[in-house]
Amino acid sequence: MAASVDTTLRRPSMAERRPSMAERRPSMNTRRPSVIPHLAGIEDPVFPSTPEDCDVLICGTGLVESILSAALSWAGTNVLHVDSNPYYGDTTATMTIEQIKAWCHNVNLNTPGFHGFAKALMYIPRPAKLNSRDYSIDLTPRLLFAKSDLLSLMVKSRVYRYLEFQSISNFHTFENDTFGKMSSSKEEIFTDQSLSLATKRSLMKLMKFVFEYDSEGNKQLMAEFGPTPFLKFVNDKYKLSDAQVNELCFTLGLAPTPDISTLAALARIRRYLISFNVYGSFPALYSKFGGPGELSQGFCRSAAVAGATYKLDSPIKSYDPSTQKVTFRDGTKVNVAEKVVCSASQAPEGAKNVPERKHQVNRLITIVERSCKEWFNEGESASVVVFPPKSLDSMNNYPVQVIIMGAGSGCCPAGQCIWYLSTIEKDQRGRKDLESALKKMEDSILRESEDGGFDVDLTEDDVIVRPDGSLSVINSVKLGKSFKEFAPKEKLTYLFKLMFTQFTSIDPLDSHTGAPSTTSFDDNGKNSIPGPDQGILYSQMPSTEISYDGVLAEVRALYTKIVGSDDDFFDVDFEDDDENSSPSGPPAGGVGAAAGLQDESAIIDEDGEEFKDEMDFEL
Amino acid sequence: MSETSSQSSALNGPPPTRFVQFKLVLLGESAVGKSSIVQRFVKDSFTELRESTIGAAFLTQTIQVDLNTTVKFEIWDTAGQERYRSLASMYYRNAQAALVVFDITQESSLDKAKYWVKELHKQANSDIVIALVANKLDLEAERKISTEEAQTFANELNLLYFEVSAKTGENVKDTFREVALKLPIEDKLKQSSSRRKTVDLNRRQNTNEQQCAC
Amino acid sequence: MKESKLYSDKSLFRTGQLLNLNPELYTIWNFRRDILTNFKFKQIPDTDPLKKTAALHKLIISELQFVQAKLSQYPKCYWIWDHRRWCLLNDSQSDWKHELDLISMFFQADSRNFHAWQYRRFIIQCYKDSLSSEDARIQVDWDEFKFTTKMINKDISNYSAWHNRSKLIEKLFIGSSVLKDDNDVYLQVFNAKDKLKFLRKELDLIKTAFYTDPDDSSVWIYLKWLFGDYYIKDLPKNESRKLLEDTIKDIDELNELETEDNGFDNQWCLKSDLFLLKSLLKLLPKDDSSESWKERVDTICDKLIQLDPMRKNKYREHKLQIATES
Repeated sequence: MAASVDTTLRRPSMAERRPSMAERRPSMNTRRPSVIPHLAGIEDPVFPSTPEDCDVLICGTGLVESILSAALSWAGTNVLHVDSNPYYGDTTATMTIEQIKAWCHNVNLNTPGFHGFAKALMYIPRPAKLNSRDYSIDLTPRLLFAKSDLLSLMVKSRVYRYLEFQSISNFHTFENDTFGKMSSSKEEIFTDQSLSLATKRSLMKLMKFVFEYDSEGNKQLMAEFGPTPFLKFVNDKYKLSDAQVNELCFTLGLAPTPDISTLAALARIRRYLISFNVYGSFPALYSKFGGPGELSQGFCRSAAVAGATYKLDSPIKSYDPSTQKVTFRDGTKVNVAEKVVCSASQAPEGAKNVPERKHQVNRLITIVERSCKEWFNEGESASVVVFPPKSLDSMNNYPVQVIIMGAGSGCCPAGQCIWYLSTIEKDQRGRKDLESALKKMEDSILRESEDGGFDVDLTEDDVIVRPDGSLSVINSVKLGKSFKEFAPKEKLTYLFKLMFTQFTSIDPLDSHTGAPSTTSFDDNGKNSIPGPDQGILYSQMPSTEISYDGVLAEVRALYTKIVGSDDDFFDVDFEDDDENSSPSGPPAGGVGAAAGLQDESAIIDEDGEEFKDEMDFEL
Repeated sequence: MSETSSQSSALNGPPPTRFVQFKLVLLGESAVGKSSIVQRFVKDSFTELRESTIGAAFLTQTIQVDLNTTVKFEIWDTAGQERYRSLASMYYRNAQAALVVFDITQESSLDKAKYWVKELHKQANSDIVIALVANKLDLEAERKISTEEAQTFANELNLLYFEVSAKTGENVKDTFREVALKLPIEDKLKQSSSRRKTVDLNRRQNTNEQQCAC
Repeated sequence: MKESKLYSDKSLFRTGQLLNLNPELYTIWNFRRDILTNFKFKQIPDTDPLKKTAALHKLIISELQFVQAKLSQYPKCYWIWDHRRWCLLNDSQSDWKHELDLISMFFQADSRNFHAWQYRRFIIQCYKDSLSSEDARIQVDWDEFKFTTKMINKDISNYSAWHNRSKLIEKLFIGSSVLKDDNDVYLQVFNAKDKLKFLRKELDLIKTAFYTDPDDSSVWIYLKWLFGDYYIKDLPKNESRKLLEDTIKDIDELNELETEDNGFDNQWCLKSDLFLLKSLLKLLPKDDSSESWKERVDTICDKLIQLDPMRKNKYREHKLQIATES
């Protein structure tokens, strides 16, 4: 464990004096040093008073803080993890209707603990129709790419076993008033009749480049064009239509802005392509019953198993760096041996060191009374839609990204659907863009039900049996398709609408990397402003990024700041008792394996046929 | 892998076993011995020490309820999160059985158990099977809560009631067995065929990576 | 162990253990087969031939299960495929169709495994041999042809698929009339014995392929095969000529785009052009009209000498050949 000693601390740093868990408690299993966590409070006589001491205090149970808590706990740190709210998840929480109502209220009052959000507008037309506990609404919905660091960590740490995942393969782009899906695999490009030969060639060339842009041969090219805007680069070098470029950049790449650099865009597109075929023919997954909120709970549980103490409903009041004591709002105190980490949203009142939040993302969440199953692929309950820049009537400068979650994901009752829309466009314009996108989606779903299948079921009440035994339909309006002329234009029923703004320090241009530069730290109390939060390490408000990318990078940065390095980050052997331990970590050699663009090694035909050397034509 | 036995595999086997899985959660104050009860059931062991080799997931144990039906329990321990009443909603989700444990030698223990039963009614499925479990039967001499008192409470709220000793093992297996018998096995069996596609993160599809230096 | 000829269940089990650790040990596979042949098979009583066949079949089935497990872990190990082959050949009740279905599933995960393709050819041959009628055999060939189409669509860079395809065409031209798959355009072409139409269709496919991936060797090799003797000798001269000229034109168009993008010619385009031009020149009357084509050959050879210096002598030879043929 390479740890740099920080001489300004009165005691040797934790990284130095802390032995690994396995060393502290010798394992009974002599095969491997398996981790034996202290099962908190199992035999102690317990009175529910706050613990008096801890190594690290973490405030806020958002995803970043939860992963951090687990990482530190498994490394042997004594973590006290609190949250000012009575629920887990904080800024990334998954909430019931009642919870989100309360949240809205607090946001608008700017209650401490709800910083980083503003202007929450909620609309519930028929409250009686909503059974609060039937809903799991994400404040910050996210997509998990099959090939991602967070997924690998969840497998390694076994946290994935607390969760259930479903696939998501439908990624659509809105263009010319329709939702289309582009050919993105070699097979699709080859067989797509609508593409001209020249386009096929161009598209394949670009796809190949996506896998090779970081090779030695392209070093110079990337040095020159990497930081330049991707849209210009791709239009200069490849002959593709605007629609195709949009789809690549904004739907496959999920870029939040048209100013995205070439390097960032290529990394994003590659992320989509290499995630294919890891688990099946889909690039991404989502967790049932909620996104980051569920993952936070999973990591918190993992941390608890490793010995972390959990206390909800505990807002902090202040931190005194000279005594290293934290005072809670209820008056109790805790000695923190090492560091206090706090979510930017739960900064204590009067805080002076919260990182500046220059960027914003506007979100619109609606619950509609429609299954939207025509938008899902077989066996799935979610899909993604992107409105590229300038595709909406509002002439949006930035894309609007939408995640559609059906009842099969466990987030809402059958026959309903949750739509999550977001854009990084600011203020009033942002909201306008969101409304504009919403309208298009509404039009689309209504149109689809009219043209396509019946989204309306005939029930026994609609049919009567005639005296001669034949059946007669009395409710002709319901027949939809055949009696279209008589059916009144259906309106989409909204059961819930929530619009709000979220602020963040993370630049959308960097959002998928979670570059350490986006995390701001105090400099051991030297340069930070005196106040109730002097010396506290802040974690960021969630980024505008729609995937989980960047989350782990931030956790590692915080971990490094606390421990000294991240060499031992989750470096634990999670042996399960009821199954053979399976190898952890991602499979080797992922790039290119999915889209089949790698060449196989030289083939020798054993039948001794003509084609010996592929480059050798017998002329 | 025994080559000799593989021959007989194709011949007559036993009638197909029906297999069904349920999530069971444990509740109760710290130190009542929840984890010891589980350890006794799953590993048939009991340790005085605090050691436990629970990994990052949960424990499982199967129990045969009749000739051709096996019930597998996926047992969730609180991991200490009950200490400050900070159990996550994930803990209760889809739990079909719960053991609310109290300690017969601690007077306040039953009251605390009542709190947990209330929590279950609030957070868990309405049809969850709840068993009130009195632990530390081996310490009969120090008993502070009578069987009658606990049984009455259980009857009021329609809970199963058991008295066990994780230390001696008395009645532990029977508790789980009785709970299993109360679970909707037939319904669950019918349900599993229509489950939506879930992705097993531990099973990666790619076979292309495997190479052997032939 | 082998020397003492210790054939027993225990030694069989040991081979299993060793192979679990390292399936490349071909001597162990050999030994295992020895044990099976000289010990396990002999264990089965001879009294009732039907019972014996059935018992042998069961033995092989369990052996196949052992092999299958290895195969999913090491899909590119020759010895495993080989052993499987041996198993099937030693069982008179081998279900070739089932085996074919099994191998088709394998291709879902890995469509370019050369071992798998070889094995597939073997299975198909055995399957065909087990069928009694010629009609049934042709059906297998036709299904296989469609399978190659599917695999090529999945990934054009599939040498084995193109190769297999080329082997089926001849057979289909001869025997396709018994097949009933009315909607398929290819079948209509086979039945009509219309080689020209077939060539055109294939060339369409090839053209899409080489546009999608101009550097894919399998596609160019198949193109060359298409223009081999099998077709050219049967087609009337003017049709062959048109076909060649059209194809050369298509390749040239592609090469232009490639040169524009990369700054240099695509070697495959040049080489293919060269091959086609030579064939074309053979068809043309030896008059002035062929002069421009000859010049082209010359230019191409010069370019290739620059781009592919390892084979420069060859290209020089071609130049000489063309010059002396006038």
